[in-house]
Amino acid sequence: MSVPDGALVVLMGASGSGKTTLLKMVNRLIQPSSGRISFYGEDTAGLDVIELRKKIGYVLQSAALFPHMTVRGNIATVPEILGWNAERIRARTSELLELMGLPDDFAGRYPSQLSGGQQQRVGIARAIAGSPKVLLMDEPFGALDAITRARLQDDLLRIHRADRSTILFVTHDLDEAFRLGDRVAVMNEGELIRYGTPAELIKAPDSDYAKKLLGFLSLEAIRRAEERGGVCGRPSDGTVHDSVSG
Amino acid sequence: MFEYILNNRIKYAALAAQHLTLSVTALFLCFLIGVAVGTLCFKNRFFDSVATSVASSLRVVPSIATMLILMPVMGTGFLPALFALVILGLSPVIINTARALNSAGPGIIEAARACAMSDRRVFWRIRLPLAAPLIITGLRISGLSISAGATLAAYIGAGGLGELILSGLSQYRMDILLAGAVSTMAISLSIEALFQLLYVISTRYKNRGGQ
Repeated sequence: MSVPDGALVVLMGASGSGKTTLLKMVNRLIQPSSGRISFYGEDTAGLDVIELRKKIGYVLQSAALFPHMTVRGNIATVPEILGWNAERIRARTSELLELMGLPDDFAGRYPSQLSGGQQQRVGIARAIAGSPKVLLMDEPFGALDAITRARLQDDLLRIHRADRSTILFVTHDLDEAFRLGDRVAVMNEGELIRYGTPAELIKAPDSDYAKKLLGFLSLEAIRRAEERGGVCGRPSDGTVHDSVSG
Repeated sequence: MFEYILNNRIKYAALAAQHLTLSVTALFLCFLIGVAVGTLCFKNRFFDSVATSVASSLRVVPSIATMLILMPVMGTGFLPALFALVILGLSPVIINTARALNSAGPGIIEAARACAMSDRRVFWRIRLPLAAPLIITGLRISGLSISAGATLAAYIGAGGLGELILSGLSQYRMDILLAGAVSTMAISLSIEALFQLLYVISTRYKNRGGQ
């Protein structure tokens, strides 16, 4: 499985299908027992783990903000490790708060003063603060209510469209997968069983499991995927298309 | 009681100073040793099981016995008293430190590592600050035992407010006894207040209750 630069790839599957494990192997929170993961052509096993993680943002389901640090402190985590000066960190924090639709005076607040949706916005801001090449997201919207989730999905698509970062997004929610993914990887019992654009998956599910899974997909999601299928007729060499209509 | 204190200002001040010096030094040593040992407990599971059970048993050793047993070795005065008080106060600091360093949730630690923090950075920036409230609680408990226990130092000639209690007892002078006892209580209450304040400061990030 290869992830093209600048794509938003969704790893989808039931609980226990190995999608989170796969995600954590990318930034080496889990060591692969076999096989290899290449990061821009280099085997991650041979890279310095701290250097690798500086280039990979990570968002967890529970925002997992550091409770004893302010919003500013949380966002500054990676920039501090990258050795940015205070002025640059302050500018980046303001920029990210604005990008995430949070008021600037949130910078001095503690996570316990924020709602779940606001915490997750800060979690995303913390993950992308150091401008990583790749962003890993592990069911980031799983614990949020439907309205907040939809809003954050929109924001994620907006951000992705603006900066074309590469995103690996884990979810068990079919509709979310088809809504967000340029490509969707379907996993079952630790194996990758299907990997393609949403339109490809709907046209040719290729396996019984994928067929069964797609049976649960809402008509709305299918319609959207088919609409997008026309636009993102993706070249097979994996270069990045430049428009996704959401 | 106040009359006694006023009439014996110099003696009283010297005894109180002795008491404070002894207690504060013992508590400071408990802090250094306790946090260090607690950190080792956190890092090594085997060491943890040994050290925490030893620490718990240290707590039940009566300080007066420690002082008397140590007399042939360390003699009388400040040092053996200090030693006994450190033994008395060590266990809550060790046990609380060891437990507190593990109290950060697995998600928080994972997020910290994913943010490219080294293990050392995770320890200093995440684990230790999140452990601080529990460690402070350990020091508060330890400080209370030490300040009360320091009255026993008078038995081995290390002075302190215990001397007033002893002479009050032997002379049937309630005012002298009370001068020692009430002052000791005042010191205990101050320690309590100080560490409660530190606790509040160390948890100020919790539940600041929205706007």
